[in-house]
Amino acid sequence: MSLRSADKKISKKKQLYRPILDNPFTNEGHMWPHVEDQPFVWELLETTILSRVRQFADVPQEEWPWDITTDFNEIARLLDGTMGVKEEVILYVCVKDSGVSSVLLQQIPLLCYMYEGNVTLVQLARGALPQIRDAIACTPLECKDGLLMVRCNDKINENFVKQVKSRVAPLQFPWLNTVKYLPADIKMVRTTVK
Amino acid sequence: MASNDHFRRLNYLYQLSAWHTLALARHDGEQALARAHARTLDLVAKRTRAKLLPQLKRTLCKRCHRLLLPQRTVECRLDASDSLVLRCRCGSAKRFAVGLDRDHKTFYEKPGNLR
Repeated sequence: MSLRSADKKISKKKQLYRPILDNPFTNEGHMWPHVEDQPFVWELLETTILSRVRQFADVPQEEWPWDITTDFNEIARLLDGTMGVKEEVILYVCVKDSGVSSVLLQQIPLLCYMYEGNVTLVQLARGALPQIRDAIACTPLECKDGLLMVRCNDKINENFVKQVKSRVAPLQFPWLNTVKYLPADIKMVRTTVK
Repeated sequence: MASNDHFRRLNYLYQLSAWHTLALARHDGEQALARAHARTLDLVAKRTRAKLLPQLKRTLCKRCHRLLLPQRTVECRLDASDSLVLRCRCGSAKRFAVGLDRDHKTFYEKPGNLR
């Protein structure tokens, strides 16, 4: 073995795992409520809203047959109570699509849980975001953050709300109600050492 | 694992802080107890050189050590430059330039780096 190759061997980086603490509460599996019949829920949204929204491109938004919004700030204002509204809402989130910031998504479930009114949080399957963007392309709405909120007021069909609600599990954060201790979630991070 | 006890202590302090932020919200507007626990957490993590995931660190205010919980202690908005701003009740803000790259993932969020 030459001196150079021996030198290389010594300086070769060794891979090892170091412990790192994860948030005990933000387990992805617990954050997003389970949707029972994903294709049906998507079809409901498509037939009730997305396929019809194109027809209202030239109509002022106040005259639309439903109150929908895709703006993060408007959604956050409503959910954190700044707007002072407590009406029921359905919030569709494109969790699996690329182009949706993970930091932004992290805020949504907690915002929904803390909302004083009822909120049905619906996670959509992969590929939903381009379809939503395509549907609202000719309207003033812009779906940058993968969010679509439908306000369940007098304008919306009651049956639509009932159907969606029956297929989505309620949002739960057990740690916000009880003092149950959760074991430390220690992960191992891949790193190198010389 | 040698540092297991430190991690357990940090985890316990975090949960205690979260619970106090919520449970004592009516009686303790300044969240003094919750902040004390979060501060201890920060000190212990630094002293023991225990690492915390960014997802966990994002939920703590660096200035006042409040646990950032919507409606209670934090307000989240997207500003004009498309940055996510988490503004704590103490006035300090955490900014995440999500508009630059919405697909951005931290080292820890990339597949294969954690197990």
